[in-house]
Amino acid sequence: MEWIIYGIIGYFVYKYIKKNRLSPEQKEFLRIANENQINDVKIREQFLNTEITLAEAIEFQKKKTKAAEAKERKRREALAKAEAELIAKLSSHNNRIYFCYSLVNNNSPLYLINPETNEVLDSSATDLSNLYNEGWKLMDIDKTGKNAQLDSLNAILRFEKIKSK
Amino acid sequence: MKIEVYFSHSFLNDQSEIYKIKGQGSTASIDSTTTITVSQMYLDGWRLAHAIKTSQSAQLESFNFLLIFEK
Repeated sequence: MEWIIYGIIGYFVYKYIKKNRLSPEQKEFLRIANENQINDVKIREQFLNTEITLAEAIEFQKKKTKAAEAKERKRREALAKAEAELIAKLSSHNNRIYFCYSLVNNNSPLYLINPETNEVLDSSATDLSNLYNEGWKLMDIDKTGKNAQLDSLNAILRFEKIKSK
Repeated sequence: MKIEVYFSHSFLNDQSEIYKIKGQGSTASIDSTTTITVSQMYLDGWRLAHAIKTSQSAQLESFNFLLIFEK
């Protein structure tokens, strides 16, 4: 009985290996595909199965890469635009609240927080020196974490604009 | 208006040593060359605007503080 089960398993393993094994010609095509940076699975498969030529594969790969880059660029632009709008909304003329991962000196990065997601807005980064140069004054500071290590002195800082006389 | 941030391992009086911190994040460390006291800061025209206790310890020798001065 055991031998029958082993036989069946062995048969399926053999079929799987045979199905996925590349011929010498396909191995050579795979090497060429790697050399030419044809990374897309579908294009690579078409090339290995000689459905398309090397020149076509390269061209398709270039188009695909270009399209992916354009899509990523658009996504980043949209994200930056949304973040810029949010920062403008949060950047009140009279008072602002910033978060700092670790306030240790004048150059420690301070960030505005997205109130909807409670996430730090990276592009809002500034520091104490910049804010004081722009005429802001630190009114309150709250240490938010219990950690006393210099690399994690989390703090919330509230600034008010100094009225010019 | 100017601002400066100092740290003290044990802030007990105006003679307690305070230092600036150099670097950020994991590279942040005490810059011992900047050692000064609150008295000297006041003589230089600085005023203590905020003092934040950074650790929970209640022992006098470990009253860690972040001190923010303005001028």
